[in-house]
Amino acid sequence: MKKILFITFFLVSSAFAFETYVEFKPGARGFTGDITNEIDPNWNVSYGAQVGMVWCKRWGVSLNYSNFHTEGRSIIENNNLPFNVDPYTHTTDITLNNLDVIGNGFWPIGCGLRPYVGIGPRISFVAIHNDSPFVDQKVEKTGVAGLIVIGMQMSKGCFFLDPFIEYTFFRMSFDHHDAEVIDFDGNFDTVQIGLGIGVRF
Amino acid sequence: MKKLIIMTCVSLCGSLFGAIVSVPPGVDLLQGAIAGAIPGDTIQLEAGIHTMTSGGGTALVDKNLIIQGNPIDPPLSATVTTSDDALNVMMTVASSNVTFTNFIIEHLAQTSSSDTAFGMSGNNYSNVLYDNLQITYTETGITSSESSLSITNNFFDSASAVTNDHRCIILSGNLGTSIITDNTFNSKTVDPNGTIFSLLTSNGGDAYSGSLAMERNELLAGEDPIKQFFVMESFAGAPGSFAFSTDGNVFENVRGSFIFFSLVDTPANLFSSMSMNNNVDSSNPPSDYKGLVAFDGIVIPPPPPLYDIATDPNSIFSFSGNVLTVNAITEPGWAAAAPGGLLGYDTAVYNPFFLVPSITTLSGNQYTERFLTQGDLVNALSWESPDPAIDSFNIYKTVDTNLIANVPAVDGQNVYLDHNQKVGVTTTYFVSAVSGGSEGTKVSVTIP
Repeated sequence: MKKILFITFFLVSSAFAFETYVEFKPGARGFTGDITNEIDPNWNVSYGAQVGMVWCKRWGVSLNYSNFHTEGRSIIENNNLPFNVDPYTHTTDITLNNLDVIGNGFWPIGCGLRPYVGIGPRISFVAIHNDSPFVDQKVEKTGVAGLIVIGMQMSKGCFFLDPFIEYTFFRMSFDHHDAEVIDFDGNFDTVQIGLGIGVRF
Repeated sequence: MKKLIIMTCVSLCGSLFGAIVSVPPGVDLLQGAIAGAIPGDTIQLEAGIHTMTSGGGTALVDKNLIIQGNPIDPPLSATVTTSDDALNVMMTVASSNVTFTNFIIEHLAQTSSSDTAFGMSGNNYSNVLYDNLQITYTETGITSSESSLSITNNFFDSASAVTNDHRCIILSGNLGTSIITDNTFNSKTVDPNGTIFSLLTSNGGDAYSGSLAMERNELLAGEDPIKQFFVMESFAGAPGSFAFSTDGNVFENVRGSFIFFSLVDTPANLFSSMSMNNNVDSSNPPSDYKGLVAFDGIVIPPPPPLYDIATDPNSIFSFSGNVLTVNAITEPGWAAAAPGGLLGYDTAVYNPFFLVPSITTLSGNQYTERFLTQGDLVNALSWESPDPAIDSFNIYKTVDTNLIANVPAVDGQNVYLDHNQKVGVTTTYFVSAVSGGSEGTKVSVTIP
């Protein structure tokens, strides 16, 4: 009974000792899956915005939105062809709109530095446009991903910088009906490296 | 009786050799002698002038006869002549087994454009012989239709000053074995563009079969280049049914020696063989030589391609031993299909000698064009164009009659992609080259 009372007291008192922040989180994002990385091997700009709360300087939760758009090109598998196949590939546009709920743990180390680790689910809306008449050109689907993020907030007054690295695990299956194609599971795993700029309240 | 004296000598062997009917010189006596003869008779023209008029009409030879100058007279002592413009055909063959030999025949009308020394009524006659004659004509020396005949050892002379289309010989179809050998043609240049030694045509649909050998004839030089030594202007007949040879002829001052010309809808695979050997062409026209053999408008019928004259060992053509003065094609708009002046063709039509080659580099592969969430399974055909003259390629699927695409030819690798295939399904494709409307042999490949 003593323990329950202690925990209740702790939580109630902590609820009245939190901070909030908003953060703009641009970064560079790239695919890590073998196929997707081959279709689009480039790093592209991803934009995100986040609002968060921190309790007791150690525990936090954040709501994050990010957008990622990139353009790749189809690849040729079984490529043992006696001709240059490049002219016969097609572009593919990929857009990811993500909404995350992240639980964070902070470890203040002084001098305004506060490393953190976050983990949480992501709801991601995938929109793909394939520039080939032989496949489904418009593919859209919403799925659930998981992410982990590591960063360090570096505060100066109420402002802070937030270098971070984020990994998203995101797989989703598709059924295409508009064309005689082979269905593949989509691997949208990404890594993002960014630098956020935020302000605390 | 004074004008018409016919001396008839009946041989004791008449039942075996026929009678000899002697015809003295006179006017229109020959027609009656021929009409009164019986099959197997010999009509013997006595030395002198045998005049024919339109009043006497054509001499219709509708039975097997020999019509000849008297062999005891000096050669060519008898002359059958007319200057009657209304008498179009002097002698008309309407029977097999007819021989004309050892006399002069001359049609000297000056205005008509259809005068003929020897004509033919009907066709399908055999063993018609014109031998050792001197034929002077306004337009045509000998005409024949779908028969077999021998024209040998004659002297042709286009004597008229009338601007006509002079032809020594016009064959309209052929049946059986025919020869035109050892004749001499004295060209007059009153109409150089209309003068031809021998013309083959399919006028009226007469067809060619059997064989024709045109050998050891000589065209004497005219003052200006004449049109052609030999022209085959249209063809009709079953494919591969006609063997043709022009060997050992000597001629000069022609713009094109052997001309094959046809409308685009006439097949050229009529010939089973063509030999053109040991001819001597001394022509030296300044700028309009079409070649020893000139092709103007011949269609190579698909399939199969007919020949590659220059290189195809299976060509129906045989060329050897020909001697040319002009070793180039100089006619504007024409090109050489072989080194020198041997073969020329009208570039406005196309190269009739081009054998559409088959594809030797065809390969078939299967690949997946992979997108993020789907893949397009593609059957890929690729090959190199076997010749720069190829226009396009036909693609057939499953069976070689199911044409699914015609793709333009490109330099380097030609590619055809068949998209949206199903996994585990095997497909056979056939690819052929196309040039000038002709198609080469189809080559197949099975994927995967």
